[in-house]
Amino acid sequence: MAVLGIESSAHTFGVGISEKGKILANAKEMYKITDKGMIPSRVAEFHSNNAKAVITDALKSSGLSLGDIEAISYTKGPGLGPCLRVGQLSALTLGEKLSVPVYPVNHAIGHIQITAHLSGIKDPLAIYVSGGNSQILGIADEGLKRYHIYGETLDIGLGNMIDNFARAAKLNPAWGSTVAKVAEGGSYLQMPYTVKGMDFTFTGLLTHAVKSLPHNSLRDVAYSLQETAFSMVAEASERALLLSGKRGAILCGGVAQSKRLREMLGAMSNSHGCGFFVAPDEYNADNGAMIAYVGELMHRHGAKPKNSELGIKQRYRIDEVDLRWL
Amino acid sequence: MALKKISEGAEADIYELDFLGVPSIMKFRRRKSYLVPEIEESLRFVRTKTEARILAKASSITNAPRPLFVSKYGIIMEKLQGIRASEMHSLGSESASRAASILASLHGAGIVHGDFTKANLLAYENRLYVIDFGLSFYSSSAEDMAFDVLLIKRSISKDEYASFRAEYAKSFDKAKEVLKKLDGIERRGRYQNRSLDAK
Repeated sequence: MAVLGIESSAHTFGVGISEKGKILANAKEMYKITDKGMIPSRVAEFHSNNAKAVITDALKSSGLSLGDIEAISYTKGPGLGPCLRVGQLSALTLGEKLSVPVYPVNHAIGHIQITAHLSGIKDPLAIYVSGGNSQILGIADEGLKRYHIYGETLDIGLGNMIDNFARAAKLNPAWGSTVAKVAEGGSYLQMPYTVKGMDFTFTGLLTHAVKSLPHNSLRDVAYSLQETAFSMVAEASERALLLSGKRGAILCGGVAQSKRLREMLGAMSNSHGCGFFVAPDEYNADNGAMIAYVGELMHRHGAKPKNSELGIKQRYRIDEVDLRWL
Repeated sequence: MALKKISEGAEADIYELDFLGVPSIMKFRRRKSYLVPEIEESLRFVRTKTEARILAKASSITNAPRPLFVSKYGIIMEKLQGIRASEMHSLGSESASRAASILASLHGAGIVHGDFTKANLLAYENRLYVIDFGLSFYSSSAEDMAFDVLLIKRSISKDEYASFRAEYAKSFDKAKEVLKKLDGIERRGRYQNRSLDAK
């Protein structure tokens, strides 16, 4: 018996299937982003048109049929309202049709939990970096059954900052891997570096980088922006690692696909004799498998969400989620 | 001058030694080879230089360790006795006021501590000392100062913070402006309550 999870918080409509912690399927369709970014209603329309096909695809690759599904989970938030709504309605409809329980999942918990699960590291420090989020977190006190945020961005998310820079530099497609490519072989220009304890800010760096574009080569600016931003995250993570006394670190979220960030955090963790793990990219990009996995954890640990909790929540904080499985 | 490593901090290693007859602490910023050389150099050399200057000033105006010897990446300073406030059962309102008057003196001299938490307050008998100026800098900005207040606010209880705030408001002439900034920072923060004992 397996749990089917639906993710639709942003541009990806994903469906995953988890059985006893084993990922049997991770199907997805991604809305193509143009230079105009994402218009939520258009993305939601895309999700509606693809929902049935992706669900069918996931079942097919798992070799299961709908009758084998014992619970459904979906992303409750954070994310774009119209997009979240499509996943939620698909989940509720399936739940009703199959007469199985439905579980609401926090998107960030999905990324962290699946990565922690695949890593095999016990009680790791989690570095979660995506478009909208950049946080360093972990379990500070098991009794609280909540994640503790050691440090985080005080303004915008790391991915969002890099995408913004890419748009200002007229790169296409305007996202992180393009910036990484143009940054290759650059030399370092001094940039604002802001770490406050274990928190950090990115807007000053972004403004400075965009303003330096006319007077410097794109390669050097892109290189310096990337090195500075990643160094800030690495330094704050190092402080959190030592303060928390954790023996390993995991990196997850969309920006975890960056090779340079992995290299930096890996070297940092290893320099303290700590393990380091990044999941394969299919789990760092938005995906349904992580939602299925957390749904299964909730199902096995007796979560009983009320009907009123089965909504969507665009701003759904990670430290308000109860971790029943601890 | 036998060296004994006593702790490994995020940016520096701390050693205990006897320096010309004075019980001392040496803080050495170790290499961070995962960074590009320019950023690594700036984090190690520039921060050491700034820290040494600020330590000299701070120890002349409030309870902070005196620097005895400074090199490119390291500082030897006097060793203070006492236990970290973070290891005490609670700080208590009296010590909270002492912390406030220390912070007021620093801010009055244009010094922002940068990591003003219980872990960096040493309590010894009836005295309180502030240590670790590794993230300190000179600034006259009320916003920078407000971050110091925010950090300590997050690491102490509500009652302790009330004593802290009262004493800080009394001992620092720009306190009103700083506390107003603090409200603004807390409103725009994504996570408003991050203290470890938050229930």
